[in-house]
Amino acid sequence: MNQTDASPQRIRKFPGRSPYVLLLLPAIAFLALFYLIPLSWIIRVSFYTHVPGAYMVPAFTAQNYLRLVTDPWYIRNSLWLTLKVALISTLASVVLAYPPALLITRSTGKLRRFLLVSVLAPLLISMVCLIFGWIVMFRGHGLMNQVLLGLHLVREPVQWMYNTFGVTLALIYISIPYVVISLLDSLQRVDPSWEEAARNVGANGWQTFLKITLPLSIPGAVSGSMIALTLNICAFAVPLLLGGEKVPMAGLVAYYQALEVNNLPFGAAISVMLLLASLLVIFVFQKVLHALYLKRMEVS
Amino acid sequence: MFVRVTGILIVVGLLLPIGVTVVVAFNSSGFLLPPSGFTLRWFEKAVRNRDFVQGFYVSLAVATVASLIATGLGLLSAFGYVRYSFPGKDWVNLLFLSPLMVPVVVLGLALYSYFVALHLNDTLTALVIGHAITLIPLSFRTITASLYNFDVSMEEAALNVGASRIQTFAWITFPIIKLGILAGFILSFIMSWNNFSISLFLAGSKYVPLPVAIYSYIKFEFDAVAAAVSTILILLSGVAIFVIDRTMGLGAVMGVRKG
Amino acid sequence: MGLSIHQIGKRYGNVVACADVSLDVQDGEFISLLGPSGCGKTTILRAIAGFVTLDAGRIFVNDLDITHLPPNKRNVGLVFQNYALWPHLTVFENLAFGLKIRGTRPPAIREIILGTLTLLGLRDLETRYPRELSGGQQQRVALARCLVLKPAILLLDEPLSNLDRKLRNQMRIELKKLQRRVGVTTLYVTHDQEEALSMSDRIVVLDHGHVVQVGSPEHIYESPQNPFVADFIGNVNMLDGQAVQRDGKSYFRVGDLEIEIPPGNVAAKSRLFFRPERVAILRGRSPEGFNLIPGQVLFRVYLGAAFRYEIDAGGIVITADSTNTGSPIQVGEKVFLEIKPEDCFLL
Ligand SMILES: Nc1ncnc2c1ncn2[C@@H]1O[C@H](COP(=O)(O)OP(=O)(O)OP(=O)(O)O)[C@@H](O)[C@H]1O
Ligand SMILES: [Mg+2]
Repeated sequence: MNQTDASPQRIRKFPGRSPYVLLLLPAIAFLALFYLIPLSWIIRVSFYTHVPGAYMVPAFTAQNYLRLVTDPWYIRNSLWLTLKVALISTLASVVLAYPPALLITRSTGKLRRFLLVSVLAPLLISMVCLIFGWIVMFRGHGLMNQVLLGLHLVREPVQWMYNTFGVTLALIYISIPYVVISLLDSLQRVDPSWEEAARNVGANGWQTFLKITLPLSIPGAVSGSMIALTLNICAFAVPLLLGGEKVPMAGLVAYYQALEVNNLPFGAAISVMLLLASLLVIFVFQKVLHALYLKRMEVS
Repeated sequence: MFVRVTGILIVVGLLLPIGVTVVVAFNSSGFLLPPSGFTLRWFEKAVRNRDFVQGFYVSLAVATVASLIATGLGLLSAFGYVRYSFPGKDWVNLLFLSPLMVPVVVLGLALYSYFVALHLNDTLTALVIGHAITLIPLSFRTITASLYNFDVSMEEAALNVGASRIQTFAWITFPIIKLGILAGFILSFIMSWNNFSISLFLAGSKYVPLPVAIYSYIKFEFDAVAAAVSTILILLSGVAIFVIDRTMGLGAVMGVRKG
Repeated sequence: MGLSIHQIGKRYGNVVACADVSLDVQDGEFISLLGPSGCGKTTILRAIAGFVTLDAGRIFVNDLDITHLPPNKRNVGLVFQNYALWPHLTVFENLAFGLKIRGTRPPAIREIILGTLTLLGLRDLETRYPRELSGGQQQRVALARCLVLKPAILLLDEPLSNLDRKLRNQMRIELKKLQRRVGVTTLYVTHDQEEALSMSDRIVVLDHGHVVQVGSPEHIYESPQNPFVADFIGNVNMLDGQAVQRDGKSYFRVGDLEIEIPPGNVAAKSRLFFRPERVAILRGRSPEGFNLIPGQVLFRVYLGAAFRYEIDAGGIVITADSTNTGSPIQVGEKVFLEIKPEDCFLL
């Protein structure tokens, strides 16, 4: 045990400030190299110019952005459409997420677990498979139209796909699980005895929901909306798979411009706009959440 | 009552497209429903399709390597993050989780143009790296959660009886948190296996992962073969969902608090 | 010398966890660190085990400076408050881990472990996992895990605090007997004064990171050196007033009362202390005794083996304990209190 005579500096290493740098460095380096630099690169590229045939030419011009906000086609057919579809589908997904979220909160044991897994399952299944199943159901002579025709609810097959309506529906479908997760977070903080107390003083189910459960679930609804809205504003896979060129949402246009038309600078400009838009959404919603949180602190 | 009925309807609605796909894949009359008989014909056709077979191997390789990278990096950084306090900790957390917040189109486009510039486009490397970037937040989050649940005195007790740091990790820490790491790995694997958007940007013509192969197929042909391939993807997802739910609980891994 | 601590100090930001703590522990001695929550007991223990980097001071074990040694090189056994048994290993494997690390050969490992398990009455549990053990059994396994390594010092951090009262009292005695038998130098952290009084050879009383008194249990209880120790250990009556000298005797004046105290130079001190169980309650019109104070019972608490009374003595409330002999004094009854001068001390 004579090693105690060794110089204190050498052994002093333990357990003071230690190898966190070494532990974090690989991941930070990886992310810097293949995530931060590409993101910066795409911002830079968005100021390049596109010369047909020459791919892209280094430059520093805002023309790609100007084109996006001045060309009436992009404003009306793409940006406005994107905003409209994103807002509608977000709103609808929040409304439709409530029943399953409430159902899960109110059930226990095996049933709860089963419901939870059912709702979360779509998150672990490929988007392509989900949309493929969606197409199978909503095709001209698919399951949905067969049922509707069979029940004489419609006279002729409904056109579910290759239009804004169909894309909106599918976006709602994709968003619901995300919103349910957020709602559950809030709903599970609602003490069942608060609801019971409301029932106890004579409120019926609806009144209890409107006066007790709903207000308490607002933070969950807000953060759920935030996730759904950022997903939907930037949607590109769903319009690509379901709408084709008929529903040129901004994300899809960016993809087309960059990979099909080979106009990378313009595609980059659109995606930078989308990045800014989702950052703005996150920023605004975080502010709202913070305000809600402060308000709740005041109340209690 | 209203909640129960609508809730169940919506849950069924969420599962319906998945169910319909699986039914079609085994239905002898394909898209014609109700099903008329059981068949494996569509699977046979799928297995004879070169694009699908190749896509299967590409997906398998990419998912394996990308989730190994993500789990390794996630494990190291989760340790650094949970066990030490240092300036800028919140920023590190933000950095590791942010790939989830950046829109997929933006990330896809950025990686695409970056790999084009590096002459790495249409390679397995590009796919692996692109996937790993999207997986790091997931593995970081799961492993961080299991480390926060881990009682540090378990490690101190090991040091106290004379074990070195490495021995402590190998014999005490790792065995105790390995389920969390495993769940993180499976989650990463399945997310990569399913990934469509990033793959679409990064896949050229040589290496096409299965989801993109399905997309290319249904663009031109819409038949039950695609349903069969989708079913293969879904089945693997089902296995992953089952295993994750049994080990850590699917809800916990996806960020739902215990009710 | 078993363990020797020299002026160790540790701060966390503005919080002083311990400051200028020095302590010498003889071989085989059982010493308790006693003090209220947050006074730095755990910090001192963890510093000895090597889990806290000290700001100042040195620590010696058997005259060897271990201040800068990593925890795995210290041969100091630490029993954690939550036991920290490894959940994926059986009792046997938990005990074997440290021995394997040291390179002990399997037959020897087996022999050492079985011997220790037998000593602790755990012989049947060797194949169980920690979750299959009761709290008391887990506690003993945690102890066994340290003992198999024959540590130079055994450190215990509130090892009994997670057990129920009955088991705690029983384990106290067992633990003490075991320590005697094994003869290991022991540092025992507790905030339970009964535990410290009943088990220790010496007690170290800590307050806000400082050592306030060191001594045998009797010494600490009978002659506390300051109000904190007097108040923290056991119950005490504390009266503010002033000491006066008359006819060669010393008295303490509280309001209209004068209580005789042991003679000596006490002029600077203004607080009188005496223990409730040293106050005798005398009934009858004019009993005989020292320092008799008339009073009236205000309140009575039933404690099973004893009664606790609060007695109004001319505007001053005095607490007195008396054993339950079957004829308790009624609330409102007029009584006399006897306080012997030698039971009083001023601080
Ligand atoms: N890692 C830490 N960081 C910051 N402050 C700490 C840390 N550990 C301990 N402290 C502070 O140091 C002081 C002493 O803590 P310590 O745990 O030694 O007390 P204790 O006597 O063991 O208390 P208890 O009886 O509650 O266990 C406390 O005020 C505590 O808040
Ligand atoms: Mg403590």
